[in-house]
Amino acid sequence: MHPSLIDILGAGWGGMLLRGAGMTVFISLCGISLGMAIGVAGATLKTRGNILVRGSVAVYTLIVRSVPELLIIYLLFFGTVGLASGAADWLEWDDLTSTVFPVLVGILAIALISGSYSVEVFRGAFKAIDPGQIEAARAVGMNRSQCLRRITLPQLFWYALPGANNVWQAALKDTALISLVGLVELMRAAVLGAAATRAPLLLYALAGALYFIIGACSQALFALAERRLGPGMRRAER
Amino acid sequence: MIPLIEQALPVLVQGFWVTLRIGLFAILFGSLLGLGAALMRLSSHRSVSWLAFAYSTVFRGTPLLIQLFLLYYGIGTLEAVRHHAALWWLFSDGARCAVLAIALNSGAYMSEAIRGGLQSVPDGQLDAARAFGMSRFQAFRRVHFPLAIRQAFPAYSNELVLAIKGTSLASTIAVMELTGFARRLMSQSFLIVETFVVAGLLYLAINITLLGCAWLVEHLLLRTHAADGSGVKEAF
Repeated sequence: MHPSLIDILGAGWGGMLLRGAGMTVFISLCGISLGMAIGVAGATLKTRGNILVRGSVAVYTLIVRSVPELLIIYLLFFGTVGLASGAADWLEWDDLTSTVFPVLVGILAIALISGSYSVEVFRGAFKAIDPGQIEAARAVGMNRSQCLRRITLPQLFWYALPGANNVWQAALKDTALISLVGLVELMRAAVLGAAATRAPLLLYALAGALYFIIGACSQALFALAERRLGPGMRRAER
Repeated sequence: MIPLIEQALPVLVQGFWVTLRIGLFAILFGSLLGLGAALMRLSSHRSVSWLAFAYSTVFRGTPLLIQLFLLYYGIGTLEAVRHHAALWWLFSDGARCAVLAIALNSGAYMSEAIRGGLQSVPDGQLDAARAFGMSRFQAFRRVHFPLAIRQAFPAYSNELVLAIKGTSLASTIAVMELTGFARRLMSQSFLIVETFVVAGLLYLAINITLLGCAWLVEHLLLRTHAADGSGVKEAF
């Protein structure tokens, strides 16, 4: 009566889940790249800006962090779905709202959410860089952009690495929520598979295992990055 | 503004109470699970500590939505569960299932916070308590736990906010709570931003109240007077 694991994989759901996992990784990578940009910008504004600028960064992080991720995704989706169907009519591109639009909403949502957490990560990283180094670099005649490129950014990346790992792991899991506005990623593939095969336990367990594997592999990559970058940074610290 | 106040507000406030109820039950059970798992992690029995490690790793490594669907649509539809009265009571109802899923999820995160606190207490303190003639339970209740909870509390209170945010997923298994009603209002009306603002403020109110309570507990009940040692006396 119940289909076995082999039946499900044979019916093509294994491939469907893997394609979904590919979409999950794609959305996470795009979202977190934008989120990191928001984080660096937010951290810069929060340390250098006037009280109004600092206040607005603080309000952004407070709101995005204390409101459920799902509510933010619904705001982005329902707030722009009218615009998207208008654009679909204008471009005569019928499946715009079902294909490209959820991807954009997903990337934007992950960017906003991970951005709010990475502001603090990068603020800590900025603080960890000794201001004396910047003064020294300016004193030897580097201009501001050289100083940023040669002194600040390389170290910023290193100091932000552990925090960025946490933000990435959270972003990866948050992508599952975008399935609720129609994006076919890993979670949505599992829901479709569960409905078609009537084996929800197996499909959701498989999808859960895939999320776990993606998370564990990226954890290993972060550990590798810390080890590879570590010795050089420690030598420089001495 | 007027249609918002007339139509949206009563609906959202109704959802607010559902959210609050699910969230508080989940926090209660999650904290108990977290404490239990943290104690298991420190057990000298390999299998016991491995079990707690596996629990916290699996539940922290997968999305809450998967866990919720796995419990509600996966385990909840098994024949064995349908014919078992107590299990069926738990799994047949979306709200109870949501409480279970969020408690399991946030218990895994809380166990890491509490374990950090328990491990921060120096062995010498525990040896001293034992040498003093306290039983293992007495030493835990009077020395280990009071010292550990002070260390663990800031990380633990972060998990409270995550648990409240987690309740929003209950709407995906047909439990109408704050996010569920907000979604319905957003899809049926043009009051999208307004709905978000009101629902967001309600979540903000819950989270700020919870963090305020946590702050009070941390500063009033768990206060330490390192200088005169009266904090140590309080712990007894």
